[in-house]
Amino acid sequence: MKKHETLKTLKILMVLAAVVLFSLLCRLLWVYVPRSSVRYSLLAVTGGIFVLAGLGIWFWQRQVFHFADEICDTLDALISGRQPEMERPFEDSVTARLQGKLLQYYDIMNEGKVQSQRDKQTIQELVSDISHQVKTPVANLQMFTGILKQHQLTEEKRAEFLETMASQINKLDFLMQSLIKMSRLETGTFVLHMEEAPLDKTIAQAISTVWAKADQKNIQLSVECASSITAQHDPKWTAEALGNILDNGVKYTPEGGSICVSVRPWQFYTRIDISDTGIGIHEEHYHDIFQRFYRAQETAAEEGVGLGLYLANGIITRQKGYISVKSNDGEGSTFSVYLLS
Amino acid sequence: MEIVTVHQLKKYFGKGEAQVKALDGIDLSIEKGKFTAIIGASGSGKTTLLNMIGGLDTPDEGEVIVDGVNLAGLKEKELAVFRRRKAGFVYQNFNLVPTLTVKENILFPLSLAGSTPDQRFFADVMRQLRLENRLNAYPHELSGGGQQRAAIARALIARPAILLADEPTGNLDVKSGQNVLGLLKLSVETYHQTLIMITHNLEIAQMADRVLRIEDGRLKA
Repeated sequence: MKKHETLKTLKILMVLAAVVLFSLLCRLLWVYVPRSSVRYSLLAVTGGIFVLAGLGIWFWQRQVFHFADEICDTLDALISGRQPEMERPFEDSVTARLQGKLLQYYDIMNEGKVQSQRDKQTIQELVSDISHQVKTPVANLQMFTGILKQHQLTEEKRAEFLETMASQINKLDFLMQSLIKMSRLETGTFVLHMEEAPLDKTIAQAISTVWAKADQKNIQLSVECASSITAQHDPKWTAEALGNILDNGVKYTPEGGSICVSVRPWQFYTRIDISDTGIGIHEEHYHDIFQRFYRAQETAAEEGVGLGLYLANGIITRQKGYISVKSNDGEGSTFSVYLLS
Repeated sequence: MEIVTVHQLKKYFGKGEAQVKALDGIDLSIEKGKFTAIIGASGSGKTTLLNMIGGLDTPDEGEVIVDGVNLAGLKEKELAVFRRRKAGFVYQNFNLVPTLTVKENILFPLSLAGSTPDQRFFADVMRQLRLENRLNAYPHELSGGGQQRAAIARALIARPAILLADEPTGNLDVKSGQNVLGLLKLSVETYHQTLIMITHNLEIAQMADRVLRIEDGRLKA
């Protein structure tokens, strides 16, 4: 309010000053300039300058108003959630620049909203995926219970069916475990405890989960990791991710093969290579194998739901690392896990 | 939400018998905030496509819409402003100015646009790309990987709507290539940047959220 009043006083003062200056000019002209033609010319020139200055100010003011109008239009559009109409968005003008910045700001602020919509969609997809995956084992169980209930069966047959049912239940259990991990990963509700920890312990932890299986298939497991190597990671979850990759290796490596884990510290990343002598992955599927529920045709004979590598990738990515794969079809694959050093 | 939509894009080079169809009717849309890799052999038209999305080249037919604006409707001068404001480029051969320091190189595009960097963001990007100790060095004092990290920082600093990378690791050995790529991926994830990267290397492409394949100027499913 005070500022406004000051401005008003200033305006009056300026008008007064202009009047004073003009009368002073007239007086000077009439006293010191004897020739009337010169006198009037000087007066006209000064008057001209005054008018021009006034016009300039008026024009400038109009520009400011116009600028404000356009910015207000943009803001109004953004407030009501519309895409603002900009005639020439990439004009090299102040208005276009500011509008561009406003839009950028809006986009960044909007990101949260878009993200929550995306999350909703992810959860929906998850639910449909889960129900799809659970259907088959549940249908099997229903079928076998039906048979066991209704028919007179020999003790032998009974035992066989029960065995099948047990394996279905195991499958369901495994599926549920994986799905729980996945949903925690997807919704971001799992907490990582990042610490600078030695990698050999994490790798040992991961190896222990596949040791028995590898031994059964006579697959040789070897690790090459200096105990001094450390990396920023969550040991528990990283072991889970490495375990998943190892599990895949054991699954798809024929009897008598070998799996080798080696660790090399690089400039920014520490690289963990997991090489197997398995069936390999075709180049075209390098990207696919990390997708949720993806299973290559060649893997149909083995059990699995297509979540292992997806989970591993998710876990490593959330630790700011990444996974890549390289493979020669039929000769084995190498998965490289990169963790920030 | 789509940030880039390309519709029936065609580009021909040469005339008559010798005419080459660099792009032969490409339709695609790229989602905001995602990392998309475009793969294809050399000569398959991937660089041409990238140049058109970035407003560096104009199509013979079809349209490119970036962030709601049809590039065909822009004049040459406006295209320049578009590139400055909306697109960040990362090239195979880094394209840093040899007589400017790393910091000056990174801030160069901003100074062209007449703006100054947000200090916090600048420091953050430098930390992310491990450049904080090399700011006053000249490009030739950096390794190839270091130069490419500086080039990535230069592209990121204006927070462009799309980041376009053309074989960013093409001139680097495998080791620094993987290091740079990891940091690039990390940066685009941290800042929710949309990244479109072209490469002929499937090993690199696998890091993307989505992989598109181009063959003889057409998109292969």
